[in-house]
Amino acid sequence: MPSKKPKYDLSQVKQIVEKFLAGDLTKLWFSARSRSVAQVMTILRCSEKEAEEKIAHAILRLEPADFSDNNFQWGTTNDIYGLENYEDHNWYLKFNILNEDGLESVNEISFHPVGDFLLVANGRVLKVTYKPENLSDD
Amino acid sequence: MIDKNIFLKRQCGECGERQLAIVNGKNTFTTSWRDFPLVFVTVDFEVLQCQNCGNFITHDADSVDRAIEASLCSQTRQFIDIIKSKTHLKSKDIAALIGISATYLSSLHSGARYPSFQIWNFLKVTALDPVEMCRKLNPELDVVNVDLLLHA
Repeated sequence: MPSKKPKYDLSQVKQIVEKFLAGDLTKLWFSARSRSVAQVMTILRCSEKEAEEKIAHAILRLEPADFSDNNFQWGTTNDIYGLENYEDHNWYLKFNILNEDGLESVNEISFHPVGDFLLVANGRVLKVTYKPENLSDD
Repeated sequence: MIDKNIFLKRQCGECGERQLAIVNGKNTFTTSWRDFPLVFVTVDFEVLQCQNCGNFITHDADSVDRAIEASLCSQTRQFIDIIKSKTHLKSKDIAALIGISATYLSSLHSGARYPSFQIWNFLKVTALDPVEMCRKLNPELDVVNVDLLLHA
């Protein structure tokens, strides 16, 4: 069971994401599109706007028990969560909060299906639910 | 209106550098979209790109979706025009060959609607060799003879 704790207050993250859904496009930043929006578009066959909204709504569904781990990358700590059975898949989320001159926004670095088993805070193990179409069992 | 300068100061999530610039994504930006495995954007639109690693970052999903729809409409119109010019078939004949209504083909040509991937791909394949494809779709239809009859 993970012993680390999230760096960012999940309720604060959700408040920022709510502002994004209300129309403030600066509040949710997809800094690695290929590991977030583009993945959702491919898997769920949706538009860019729909993909962003699905990711935002996924973040709003997170609970503290979904926390998995955190990592340190490029001078910033990121929180990693696992979301179970959202749009028929288990998802890996990694984000941090940006603070730009006092204005905060959520930097959604990763949002993609769980690529390997993911252990979350309450001891649940999220299994792999998605296999890219170009991979076979051979 | 979004102040794009906010985004330019941000960090690329692929390489960690802060070297974002607003570029024209025309002919360079590709993505999967709805039922399309890959769409090549062929119209002007602004997108952020990391000048260090080339990572594209979109900052306005609506503008991306509009650019993709416009690209698909433009490409579809070109496919239809190629088929028409090389076979000299009327729109209703082309529509019948492809299995869609003439009204739908007209709306695709005008850009009022964008096609499904299946229709888009069918038009694309047909546009590669329209005469041969039309003959395969309807062996009884001699495209050249139709051409002669129509333009005699």
